[in-house]
Amino acid sequence: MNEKKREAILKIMSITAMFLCVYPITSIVRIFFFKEGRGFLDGLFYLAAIYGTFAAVTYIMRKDCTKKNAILAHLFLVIPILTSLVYFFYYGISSMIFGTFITAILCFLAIRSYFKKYHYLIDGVKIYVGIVMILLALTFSLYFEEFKYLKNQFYIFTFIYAFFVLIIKNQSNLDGIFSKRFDKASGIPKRMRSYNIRKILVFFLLIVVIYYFRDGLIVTLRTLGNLLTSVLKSLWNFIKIIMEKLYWLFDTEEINNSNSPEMGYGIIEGGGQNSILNTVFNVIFFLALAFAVYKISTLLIINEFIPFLKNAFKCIFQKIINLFQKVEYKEEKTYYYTDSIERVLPSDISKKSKEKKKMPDINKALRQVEKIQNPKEKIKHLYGFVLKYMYIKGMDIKKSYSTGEIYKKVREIEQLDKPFSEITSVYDRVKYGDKMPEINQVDETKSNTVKSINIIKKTK
Amino acid sequence: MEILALVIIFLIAIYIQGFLLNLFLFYKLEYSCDFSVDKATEGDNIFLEEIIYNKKLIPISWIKAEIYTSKWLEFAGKDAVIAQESRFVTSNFFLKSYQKTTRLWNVKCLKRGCFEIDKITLVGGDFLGAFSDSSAVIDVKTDLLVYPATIALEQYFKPASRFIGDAIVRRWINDDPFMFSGLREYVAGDALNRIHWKATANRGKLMVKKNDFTTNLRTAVILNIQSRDNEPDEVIDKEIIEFGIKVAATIFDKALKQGLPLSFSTNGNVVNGNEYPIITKESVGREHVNELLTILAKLKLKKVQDFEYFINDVSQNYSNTEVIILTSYLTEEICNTIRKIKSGKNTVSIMLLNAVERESLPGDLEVYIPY
Repeated sequence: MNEKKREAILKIMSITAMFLCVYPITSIVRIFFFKEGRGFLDGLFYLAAIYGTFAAVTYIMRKDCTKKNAILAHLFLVIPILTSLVYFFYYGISSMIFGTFITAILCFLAIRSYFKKYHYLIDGVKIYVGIVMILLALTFSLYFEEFKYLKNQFYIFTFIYAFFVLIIKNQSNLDGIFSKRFDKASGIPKRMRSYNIRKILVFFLLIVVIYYFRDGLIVTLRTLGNLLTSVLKSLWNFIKIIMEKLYWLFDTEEINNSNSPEMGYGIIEGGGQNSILNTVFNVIFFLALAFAVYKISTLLIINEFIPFLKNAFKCIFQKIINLFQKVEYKEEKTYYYTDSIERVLPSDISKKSKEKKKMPDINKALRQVEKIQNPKEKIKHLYGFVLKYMYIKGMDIKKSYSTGEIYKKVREIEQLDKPFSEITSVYDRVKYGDKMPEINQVDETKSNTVKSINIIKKTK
Repeated sequence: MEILALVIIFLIAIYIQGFLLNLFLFYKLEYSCDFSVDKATEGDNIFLEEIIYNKKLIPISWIKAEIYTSKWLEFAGKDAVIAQESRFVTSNFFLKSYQKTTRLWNVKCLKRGCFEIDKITLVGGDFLGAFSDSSAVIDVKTDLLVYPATIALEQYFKPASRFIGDAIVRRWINDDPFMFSGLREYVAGDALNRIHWKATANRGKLMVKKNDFTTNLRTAVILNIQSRDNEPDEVIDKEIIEFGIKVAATIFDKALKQGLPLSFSTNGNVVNGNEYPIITKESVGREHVNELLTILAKLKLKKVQDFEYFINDVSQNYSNTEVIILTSYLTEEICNTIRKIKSGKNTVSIMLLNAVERESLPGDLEVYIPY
């Protein structure tokens, strides 16, 4: 989509959003003052007037001032406004004045938005004013009997408004980030806008779902809260018992006797009379309890339960990821750079077989290269062959690695640096620079491939 | 309550998306930036490879890497911001979960030099612009050495005097200057391209081509880094000296092809070098020439000693050598020193990098002037 179209669509969305927050409150006012309820018909006339004005301004501002454009501009401007006026006049002069006033404001804002940035109408204070207006209308529709029939309509408006605001905010955010003088370099990557819009859509749907199931959510949150409270309570009780035991352990007989002579403090009933024995028992009990707590926490919780949970979560997570896994590899070329985009899942998710493969034959590969007519393809084939050889030899070569990454790994092997760097250099030029290799370059690559394979063969 | 719930849900959702995206923005995010080669030659097209890998489930709505490098590495075209000697480019990405993007920038090496990309900062944020964050400075430390380009000497220089020029032209400007005078046994240090394979096969031992005494001279290149006499430390006419560096590189290249022993001296120094002039040892072969080219690539346009003193200091170093002096001006003192060098059984050729009046040149010296 070109920039102009995108800007126009966003402006239309912005105007619509403005209408969505203005219209509900005007409906409330109209019903309150004129006791008229005409459903969404008013809204349609307002909308027609706004879009008509916007289209008219677009035609007027066009560089080619043809008669056709002038006529279209007049038609777009006059017809909707006149029709609206006639419609409003049908309900009386006061209704017409009110309708004209609202239409005039909306048309004025539509004209302004043409000359300003698309986020002009949904920016700064205007966004808060819009939210207050729409919430006010919603409140009226919820709590006043005479407006109740508008509730669903206003809810729909609120959600559409919210969606448009999110989209415009997102897009203006991207523009703000990447359109500054010092940040314009590579521009906004081609699919960044559409990707962001998709994510905003998902985000919005998530909010709608949460709102729809808000009661269920509240119940779940309450249950969770209760669960947490009970866990905390039991923990507190447990600590309390421990503290009491500790208190008894270090308590002196005199104080205990003076406070409550009849109480026994030992674990064993009746043992409370012998303070030394009591203390010994208490110490043993405390140590046993501490040991048990330590063992349970370390062995059971830390060593068993947490890893079990971790693995279970990981397993579920990997299964979900695998479910959505797509074999994605894309190349996007711009004038300045080439992007290779791929989805690389963690290696443990990969289900690639680890069968032992037969080492490919270099002579066979060279014969195959001879059959290839296109020099570019020859280079690609040779490079691919070296990579395949290295992979089967057990080197850490992955499909997701870039040529630079592979070269860095290869550099560690003695003597392989030079021939492989030359192969990589030619390959890069062919693949990303789109250069046609010369005959001697193909020959050199062949000889470098043979050299590389011989060196790789010798490595363990 | 319903309205309140609606508002709260929206606010919490917006906050949570911003908070989560920002909290995990740089978590399990890998970034690297590297040149596709370590060494290139002026005019070469190479690649700058950026790899960014989001190793987590949470996507990244936008992220940008801010790259600062030299303006002499041309990439991102008109969209790059060039200020003085630096080029600023922002590289923008968005990343889905577990997405890896490899970006290869087409880079053209405009000038010789030693270039580096040292540090990079990543800046990212959420979908709605409510939160944004920048990473700690990432050390990428990638270097690129750009050797000076070679030129066709015959297109740039002509002898100031025809009578004395022809011989030198044949030797330095034409490609095949040697007179073949016989064969001798191979000794260590002889270039491989001088081996006479037919004779080697005939006699069963390595034989090399033997040349005339005159062509068997050793070669020394002296580069005057000053563009003008009495100039401050920094070079004024940078383009002239850059041209001289290219001429030196061309001579190195020719010497390598002809297997001549070569030495290089200059009254300048390299980037991150000391404050002494450069005087290299004489040697032969690819590695030595690469070292000399590295010196040329890293050469600062700043003198460390006045050329008059410098040439006087090094004049004693040469005997039975073909000395090629690359300078943009000549003074009486310099000419006297050159005469002294010449008197020590050396052949001296002066390649003037700057156009001068032919009449002002010394008649007894072999001078080449630019067209």
